[in-house]
Amino acid sequence: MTNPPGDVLRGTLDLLILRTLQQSSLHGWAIGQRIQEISKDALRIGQGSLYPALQRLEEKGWVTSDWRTTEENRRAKFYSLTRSGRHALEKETESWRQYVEAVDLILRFA
Amino acid sequence: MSARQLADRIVDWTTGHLRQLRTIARKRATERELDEELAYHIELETRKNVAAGMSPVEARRAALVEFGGVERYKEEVRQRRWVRVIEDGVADLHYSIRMLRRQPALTLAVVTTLALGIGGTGAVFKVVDALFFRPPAGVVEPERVLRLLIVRDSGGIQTADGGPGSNIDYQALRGRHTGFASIAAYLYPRELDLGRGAEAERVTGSVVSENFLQLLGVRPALGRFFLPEEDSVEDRNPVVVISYGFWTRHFGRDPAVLGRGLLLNDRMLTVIGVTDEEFTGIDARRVDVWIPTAMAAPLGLMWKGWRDMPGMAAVDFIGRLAPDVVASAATSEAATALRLSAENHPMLDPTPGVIHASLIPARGPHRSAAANLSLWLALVAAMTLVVACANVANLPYVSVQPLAVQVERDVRPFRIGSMLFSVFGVISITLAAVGLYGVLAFFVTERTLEIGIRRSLGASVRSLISLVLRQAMLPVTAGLVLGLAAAFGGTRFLGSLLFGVKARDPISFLAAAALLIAVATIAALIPARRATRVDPAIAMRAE
Repeated sequence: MTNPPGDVLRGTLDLLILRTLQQSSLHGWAIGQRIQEISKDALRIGQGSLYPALQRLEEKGWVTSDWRTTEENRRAKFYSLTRSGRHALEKETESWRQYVEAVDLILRFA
Repeated sequence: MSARQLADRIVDWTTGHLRQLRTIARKRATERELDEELAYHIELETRKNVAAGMSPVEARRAALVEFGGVERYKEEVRQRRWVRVIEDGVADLHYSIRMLRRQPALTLAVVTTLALGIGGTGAVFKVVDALFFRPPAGVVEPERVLRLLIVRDSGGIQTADGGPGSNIDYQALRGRHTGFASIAAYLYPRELDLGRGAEAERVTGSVVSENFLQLLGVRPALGRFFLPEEDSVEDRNPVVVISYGFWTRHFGRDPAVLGRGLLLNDRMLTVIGVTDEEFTGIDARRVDVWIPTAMAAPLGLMWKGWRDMPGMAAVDFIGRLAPDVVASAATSEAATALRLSAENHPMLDPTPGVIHASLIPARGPHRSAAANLSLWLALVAAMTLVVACANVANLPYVSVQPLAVQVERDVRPFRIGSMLFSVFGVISITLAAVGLYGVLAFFVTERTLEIGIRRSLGASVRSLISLVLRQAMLPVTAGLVLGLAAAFGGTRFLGSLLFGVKARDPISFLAAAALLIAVATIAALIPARRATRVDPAIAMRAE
């Protein structure tokens, strides 16, 4: 299965969202925006996967959401990381690094 | 994972799910929130596009295209919810009902299997309950009524573990004062022919001493019960008492039944009374007609003059304890009465004993064959459930990995259909085996007496067993032929529903048929062997 360029693998998406929320709470659009900016437009979150992913993470208890008012006085749903979300982020980051390293080893030496 | 982490996880997981539960409760509100969240997203996206130089209309269209249609994503978000599970359940139910309505044959099969499964299991447990936990219905103070068993270690009758006695024993027990207010005799219920010619049918009759019904506290719903003089001289008073159920079935509860004739085993008996509605006998079998002991021989149920034969040990006893008498005192007095009587009958054990058992059919030292059978049935019924559950758990399609949503949806009805059929298949084959065993074993056990008579006439054990087997296999073979024919026709259209089962899967059919034949053979063989081992000479020896 090949992904269209810029598409994000499902498991990775969760990791990216968790990492984005590590510093501050954000609403949905901002999460997608942040990922796109930091990856220099290389990663675009299909918004269709973003909201289901947020829902999924909320179900797992890794993120929590609440309605807040934005600077421009609009109501928006903000997502933030829970404590177990932080633990999960650490673990996922670790296993992602191992995975990349392993794939890299194979690409170089196999 | 540290304890702290674990605690965090539990708290977060719980609050996450509590929120989901709340979601179900306020689904509409959540729906609005989702709308709002997505609308805001599109608004921000549009603004971004405008900032990048698009016209407002273009910018919004681009945002929507990027989004791929609001509704589609709303649907995908909803998909994540428990709400979805419930909504899908309802939708699946509707689908199933439509499917069943379109395919009446399938509906019939499912309904029949369900009915058999539930009915069969229910019936088994009902029998166990009745045999092991409840005294017979319609008996007054059943805890004061005991079954009496006579223990004889030597002589012409040997019942070392306690067993039936003769009518002579009965006379001895009644003739002396014991701690029992009264003692009654009865013969285990037997099949009788009712009527003659084309209309003849089988009914269940029990031979009882005249005081049997009064002892139990049964009241007549109509008429009266036997008088002592009606049970004194053999063949003088051809009278019969019928059960309430029999009265209802055969006479539509017509009060004019009293005085009418009933042709039983080719003898005309006069109906004198009807038992009350609750009472159906004290054994597992429902009794239709009650016959006094004086009519047992005329109806061909016993040898002529059996009541005067001390070795004719075919009578069971019940006794109602007199007020303030304990069972052990009453039985030892009864044993004394039998000992005195034994002085006149040198062929019998000179020191007989009496033991007692509860009136509850299956309790006491001797469980009836029916009670043992019902225990086995209950065990197998329980196993059926376990096997069915295990089977469901092992079905490959239960653990389908996440597929594309659309595929999942297309497949779901078939998964449910094939799962149902597998479960029903397991249940029905097991029930078939259980039912077959029950019917055959009971059928053969019932014929113990007949087998004993054939033995005494010189039939060999081998020929008797082969006779019983041949007779038992006839209906089994017929049933298998019919069943296989139906199964071949049936699986043709089931083949399209069941994954992994070809339309004609000879292995499955052969396995099922072999299983049923094996069960049938065992069911016939075990009781047949037991019946041939009964010493047919016991009755003759005392002559």
